Amino acid sequence: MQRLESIAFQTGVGDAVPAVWAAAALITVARWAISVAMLGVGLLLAGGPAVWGQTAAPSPEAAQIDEWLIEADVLYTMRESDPLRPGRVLVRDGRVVAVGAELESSTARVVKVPCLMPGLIDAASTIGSQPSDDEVTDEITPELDVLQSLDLDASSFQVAVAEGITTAHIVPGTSNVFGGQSGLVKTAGLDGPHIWQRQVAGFMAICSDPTARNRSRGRPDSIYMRQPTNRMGVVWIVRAQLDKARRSEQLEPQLRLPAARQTALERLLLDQQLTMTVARTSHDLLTVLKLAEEFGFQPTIVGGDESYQVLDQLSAAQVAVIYTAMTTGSVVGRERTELRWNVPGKLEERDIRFALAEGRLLEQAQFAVRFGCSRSAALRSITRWPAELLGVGDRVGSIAVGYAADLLALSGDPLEMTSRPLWTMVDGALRAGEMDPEVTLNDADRAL
Amino acid sequence: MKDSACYRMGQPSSWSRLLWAAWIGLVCGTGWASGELSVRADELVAITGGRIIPVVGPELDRGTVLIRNGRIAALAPELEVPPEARVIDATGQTILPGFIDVHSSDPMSQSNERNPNVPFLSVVDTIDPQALYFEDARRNGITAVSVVPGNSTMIGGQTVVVRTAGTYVNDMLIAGPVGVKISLRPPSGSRMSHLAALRRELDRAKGTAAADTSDPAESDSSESVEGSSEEGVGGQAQESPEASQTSGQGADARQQGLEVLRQLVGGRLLAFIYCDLPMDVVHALELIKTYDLKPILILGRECDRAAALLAEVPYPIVLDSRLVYWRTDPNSRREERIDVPAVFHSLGKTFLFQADTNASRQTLGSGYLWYQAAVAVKSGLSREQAIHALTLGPAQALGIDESVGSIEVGKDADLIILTGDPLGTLTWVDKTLVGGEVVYDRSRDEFLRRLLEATEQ
Repeated sequence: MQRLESIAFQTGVGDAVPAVWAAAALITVARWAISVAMLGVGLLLAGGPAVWGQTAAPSPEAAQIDEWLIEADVLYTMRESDPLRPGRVLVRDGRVVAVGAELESSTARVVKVPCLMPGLIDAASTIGSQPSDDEVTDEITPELDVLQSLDLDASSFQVAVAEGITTAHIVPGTSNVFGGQSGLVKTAGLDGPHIWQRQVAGFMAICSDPTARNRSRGRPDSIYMRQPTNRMGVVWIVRAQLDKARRSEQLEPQLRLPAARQTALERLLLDQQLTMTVARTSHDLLTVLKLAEEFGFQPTIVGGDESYQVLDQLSAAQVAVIYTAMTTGSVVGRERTELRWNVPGKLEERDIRFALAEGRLLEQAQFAVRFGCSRSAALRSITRWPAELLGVGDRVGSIAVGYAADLLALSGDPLEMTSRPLWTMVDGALRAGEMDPEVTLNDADRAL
Repeated sequence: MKDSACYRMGQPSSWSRLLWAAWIGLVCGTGWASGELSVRADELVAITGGRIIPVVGPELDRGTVLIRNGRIAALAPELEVPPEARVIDATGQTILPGFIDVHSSDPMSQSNERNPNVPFLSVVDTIDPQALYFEDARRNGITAVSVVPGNSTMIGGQTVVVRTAGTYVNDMLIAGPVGVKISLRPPSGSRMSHLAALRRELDRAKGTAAADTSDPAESDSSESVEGSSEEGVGGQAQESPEASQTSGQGADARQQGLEVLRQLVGGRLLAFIYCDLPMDVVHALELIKTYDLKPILILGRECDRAAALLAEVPYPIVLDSRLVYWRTDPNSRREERIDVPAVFHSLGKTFLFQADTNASRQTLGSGYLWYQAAVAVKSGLSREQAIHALTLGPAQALGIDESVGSIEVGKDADLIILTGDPLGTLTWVDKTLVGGEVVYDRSRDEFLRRLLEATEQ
């Protein structure tokens, strides 16, 4: 049904032989039957969407780790009056139970570090998944869950933890116009990385990525025929789908979207869920703002390479940006490279909330500072702000009472390129690096 | 360098001097009106008030560097500045010798020839003083660069060392030819045939070097060249298409190449030997021994595996631009963080850096030498060692430490003035001096200003 409409969108349909049409329709219907069936099985196996949202933070390994008192020469909490010099953090049962300059504990293991900050949060990560994981049999897959293709055994999680990343927002690829649902992962735990929250955000790709590999001159009846073939098509698909979802009640039953898709798009339209749109060039960014206005949803930009060109518009629309252009390896030439590095500073100037993402977060923050961003904004853009953007700002991203004990210890100022990560704690347990051997030796004695 | 004369074309011609003067006049007349900065090489310049890190000798918290005729004339905490001297106030800033890039193909328009065996070529013919590389280099505190052909070659041509400022390559030349590029990674084909072809070339040079006084034996060597391509080296040592078309030219190039290789064998020219894999290191060491080469070893990423071997030999090594990487154990899939500077540092082996400015870079900063040094400090190197590896270290390795690499009386005034602590995140190069002349001034850097200033609309 929907597929036929899509085919009509293609050129040269009029020439198609009726028999071919029939065959195409049959194949399409068959494909849909299979996908719907598979989805149903998936839902059953996963226990239904109601359970997904409630998957709570894993209980810390209380038996293994009891209590830590971490004494830092400099403590960045990401709350007011940062930093504390010195600052202490008391951790019990995986959570922060006290923060202050003068804390004592007779039972805790004491660890001294030069610098302590919250574990980093990567607001757009692809660790554990690969570009080839994109579901390319359809370009409209808002109901798919990227966590289903996540490899929790991927060794890249080890790298992430060692670099200080304790929470990763796993995002779908950009091959599809509606890419699916993202999820939050804790990068380490007793049994390794684990899923923390599902269905965090619905993803759209308002850029030319979904047109890659699609040929405008293919056979429209082929099952390998993919849409869209250019940016117009991308926007057209977004509009057509959202419009259909919005008018679902008025449509004939057979013209309605499949139920799972309808549900996913309704969440977007009713702003019941975060909507993240991948957009990079200035005209793509403006397109996002226009669509958001038309359909009344609040987007969060992912990408934002050319956001410095549309600062006024982004600021007016109060749109947040998950900026992923700092690390890009595809740019050639100094202007395009270094102009990307001053974007965080420009966003900060306009009070546009942003997060730095896609790995190497400390290094990104360092370069952001070098190219004009304030220290406080650079540090928050890899900790507190991404946590808030992702709706978990009350549990991670800061060092405060009641927060998860996700901590990163450093040999010095986090924004100096000569400082290195010493160890990473996730939910109150040491998951990467080594604590000062002298200190842990004493503690071991005390523990015995 | 006694060989540099052939590139200098004797004395600088009066014509080029005239142009040079005209250029300076133009610069003074248009942009640099303030006078303070229109520093000419033949004038007296005093850099006052700054912290001085001379690399050789003790650091001065506050001192003056006096420059006369483009050379460092004096250096002291308290120094009477002659009234005729132009003063550059560096109060609150840090003065260092200019950084030296020990291995870079970036100033070249094309880093390698298709023909992998071109000892007769020199990079001096491909250096464009207007290349963006030089502007960026001055901005990042590099005052001298050793221009070396890329790694996709066998014998890649002769290298030179140039200053990063000048109108013509002849003005810029510090030394040349300095060395010859040799790569142990075959551009195509197998390592066996690559090494065999390389040895054959070096053998020929060694043989003729031994029998230097004997008959030229040119016909002999060109015959064996033809023989070698028939031996099934499979394109490894083929002549370039142009050269093979006219055998006369090919023979000339052969002869010239042989002359160069004769200087290489025995160590009159440096051998920049690229070791792609750890397995190449042992062959490099064998070649050095067999042919009495004077090497600088350019290491590929995983050559930390050959660190123990490299720590036993006194040769300078240049680390891959990717200083820290993750190695996956194929069986357990555990990731091991490999900190290359830490590996060599723990063995007491000193090393040099190279920057990687192409798009494949893996970190944000690997295009910058100062960033590489900062990463090495992160890995446990002291700041002094890191700065040494950017200045005097490469100067010594390149054999130009008589004139550059430290702030010492008599050396060229190739200096940089930094806004703060070297290797700091917020530290910028404020001024770069080459031969006592200010060739970069941050306050006049339009590109940087536009990048950093607030957006106005």
